[in-house]
Amino acid sequence: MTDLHAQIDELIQTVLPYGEAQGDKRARLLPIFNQLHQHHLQACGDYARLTGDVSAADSLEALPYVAVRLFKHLRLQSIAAGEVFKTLQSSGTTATTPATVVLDKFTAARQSKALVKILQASLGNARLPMLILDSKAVLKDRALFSARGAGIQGLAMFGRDHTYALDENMQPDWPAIDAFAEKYAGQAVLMFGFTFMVWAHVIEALKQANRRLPFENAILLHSGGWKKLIDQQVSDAVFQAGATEWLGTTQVTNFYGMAEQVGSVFVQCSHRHLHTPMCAEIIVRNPFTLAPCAVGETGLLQVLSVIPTSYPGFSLLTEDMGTLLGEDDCPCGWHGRYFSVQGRLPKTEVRGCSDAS
Amino acid sequence: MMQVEFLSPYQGQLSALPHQAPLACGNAVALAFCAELSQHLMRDAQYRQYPELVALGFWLRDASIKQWFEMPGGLCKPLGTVLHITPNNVDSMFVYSWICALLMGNHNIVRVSNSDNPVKQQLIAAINGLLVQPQFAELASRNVFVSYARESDVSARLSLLADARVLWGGDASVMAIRALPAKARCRDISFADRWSAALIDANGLQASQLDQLAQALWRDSQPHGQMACSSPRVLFWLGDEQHQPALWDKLAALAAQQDDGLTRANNQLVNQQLLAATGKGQALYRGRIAVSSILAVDEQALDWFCGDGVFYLLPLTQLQDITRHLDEKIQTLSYMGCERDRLLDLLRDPAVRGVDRLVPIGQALDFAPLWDGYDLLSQLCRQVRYV
Repeated sequence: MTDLHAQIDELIQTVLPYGEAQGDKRARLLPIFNQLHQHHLQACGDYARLTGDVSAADSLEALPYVAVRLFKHLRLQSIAAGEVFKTLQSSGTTATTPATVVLDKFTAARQSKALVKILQASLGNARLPMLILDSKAVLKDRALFSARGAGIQGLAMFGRDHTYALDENMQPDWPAIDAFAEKYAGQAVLMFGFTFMVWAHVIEALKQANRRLPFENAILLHSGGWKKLIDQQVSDAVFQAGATEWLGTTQVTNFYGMAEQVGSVFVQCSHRHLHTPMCAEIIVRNPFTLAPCAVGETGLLQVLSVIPTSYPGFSLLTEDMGTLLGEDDCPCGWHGRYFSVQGRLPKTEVRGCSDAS
Repeated sequence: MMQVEFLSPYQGQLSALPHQAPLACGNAVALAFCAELSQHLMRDAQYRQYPELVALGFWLRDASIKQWFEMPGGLCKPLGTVLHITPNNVDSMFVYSWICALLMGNHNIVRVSNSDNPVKQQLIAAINGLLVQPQFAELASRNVFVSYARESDVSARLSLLADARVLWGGDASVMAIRALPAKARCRDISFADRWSAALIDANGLQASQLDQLAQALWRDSQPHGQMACSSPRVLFWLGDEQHQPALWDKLAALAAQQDDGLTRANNQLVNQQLLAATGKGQALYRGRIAVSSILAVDEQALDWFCGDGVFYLLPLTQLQDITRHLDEKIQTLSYMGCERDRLLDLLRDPAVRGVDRLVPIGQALDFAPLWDGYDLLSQLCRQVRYV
C-alpha cells in the first residue's frame, strides 16, 4: 500500500500533466491501475463482488469499470470507518439522488495536489484576485458538504482576495462586484463558477442590467453540466462570446470533472479541446456494446484516475457522451488523448414501475 | 382557471361534464366506437411498429369483446363520472380501464401525463380521430383527455367531481391522490406497484420448444419497455438448467430485432452491478438482454429493475418452493411446462397473498376486465338488486 501511495504521489507531482506521449503514459499507468484494482478487491467487498476475480489487465481497456450511478445507490468505500476524513455529496443541478463519495486524508490530499498541478498548466502560478461567480451560502452548510462547495474551495487556492459575486438568493451582489471591479479594473483577475450559474445568474444578469465588468484581462474557469444550457441553445462558442463581452475575459477555460473523481480534471486547451492529464485517462465506449471506440467515434466516457484509494472509483463508466478526438496530435502541443463532451445520456434514471407524474 | 390542456375534442367546462345526460351500460355508441378503433389500429400500417397498439386493436374486435364483455348481474347503471389518473411510463395500459368505464356508460376524465411518449401520442391521436366524427358526438361530449402538471391542484378539483377514481401509478402517486377529498360514495380502484413473474418448468423441456418459449416470453416482455405491472421481471426456473444459455441467446436475438436505445446497455450494467455489489444477484448473461440470478425476490432488487430486457432468474428445486416468493405485490404469474391446476392448488393456500392472474407465458399482457383482483365492469357500474 505505501508503495502504491508513493507511486501515485510521484506520478501526480513529478510528471508534467501533459508531458508524456501516449505510449509512455499508458505504460506507466497500467501497473498502477492494476495495483489499484488489487487494492480495492481486497479492501472493498462490494467492489470485489461486482468485478469478480479479475486478474491483472493487459491494457487499460481490460480493467473493470464501475457504473458511476452506483455511487447514488451504495456507499462504496475501501477504508475502515475510522479513516473517513470527509464524505462528499454530489449536488448536480439536475440530479435527483446525490452521489456519496468517501474520502480519507490521502485521497483528499491527492485531489488537491493533482488539481493544482493540472490547473497551473492553464492558469500559470500567479495567484490572481479572484471573483467567485457563486454564492457564499453554498459553503455554509458544512453538514452536507456539497460537490459545489468542494469545487469552490478547491479552486479558491488559485486566487486571492476572494469575492463572491452572488448573494444568498443567487442575485448579483452589486456592492461586492462594484468594489472588486473598482479595485482591480484593468488588471488580470481570475473568475470561477459553474457553467450554468455563470450563464444564468451572472452573464444574463449583467446583460439585463446592461453593465459590463471593466476587466481587460480576466480568466474565466468554469465547469459543470451543460444540459440546461444546451436546452437554451447556448453552445461553448456562444458561452465564450457572452463571457468575453460581459465579463471582460480574454481566456475562457472549461473543464470536465465529476464529484466521483475530484482532482483529475480534464481541461480545455487553447484549441478548445478537453485533454487528459498524466494522472488520468479517457476511454470512449460504444453505448450499445460498451466496446472501446476508436478516434473519431462517439460513445460513453469511461474516466480513469490514479487518485482514489479510499473508494473504488479509479475506473468509472460515466453517463456522459463524448468523442475521442485524437492522441498526442492536438495543435496546442499537449500530449495524450483529447476529446469533447456532448452531454448526458437522455433520461438516465429509470423510474420504478408505473409512475404517474 | 385550471391550468389544463385538453387533448381531446371535448368543448366546454370540465365542471359541466358530469351534467351531461347519462348513457346506458353497454350502450351501442360505445360498442360501435370500440369496433371502429379496433379496425383503425389493426388496418393502418402506421401502428405496426407498436405491438401494444395492434394488440389493443385485436382486443377491441367485436369477436373479442363478445368474449370478455359480460354485463354484471342485476340491473346495471353507470356510476357517473370516472376520473382516470394514468401512469407516466406505461404508455397505453390506461386505455383498457377507460374502455371498461366507457362501455359501462360512464363519463370519463382521463388525466394523461405530459411526457411525449410516441405510443401514447399515436393512441390519443387515433381516439381523437374517431371522437370528432358525428356518430361519436355523444362520446366526445362525455369523455375528455387532459394533461396538467402533477404539482397543480387540478387533481384535487377533479376528485370532487368523481364518482369513481381509477388510479394507476406507483404506490406514492396512488396514495397522494387517495388523500384528496372526494364524494362520500366515490370508489377508488387503485393499480399500485406490482411485479410479475414467469414460471418455466424445465423438466422435460426440449430444445425444439425453445423458439416458441423465447417468442412467448418476449411477447410479454417487449411492450411498454417491460415496465408494465404485468411484464415478467422474475423468471422462476424449475429443474434442468441446460437450456438456459440457448434461451438467453434466443431472447437476445428477438430483442435485437427492435431499435436499441442509447441508455439500454448502461442501465443494464447499472442493474447487474448493483445486484452483484450487494450480493443480491449474480450476472449470468449480458448482451442485448441482461440476466442475473437471484436467490430471493428482494424489494430493493425490484426497485433497481429497469426493464428493456432485464430478467432476474430464480432457480427452484421443487414447485412448492415458489409459494414463499409470491408476496402480496406479485400480480401476474405466467407459466409454461407446468399444469395450471397444480399451480392453482398451490395458490389456494391462504398463506399465498399474491397473484391476481395466472396465465400461460405469452398472454401476460392480455387485458381482461378481471384485473389486479378487481372486476372492472362491476366496479365501474352500480348494480341494482331487485326482488
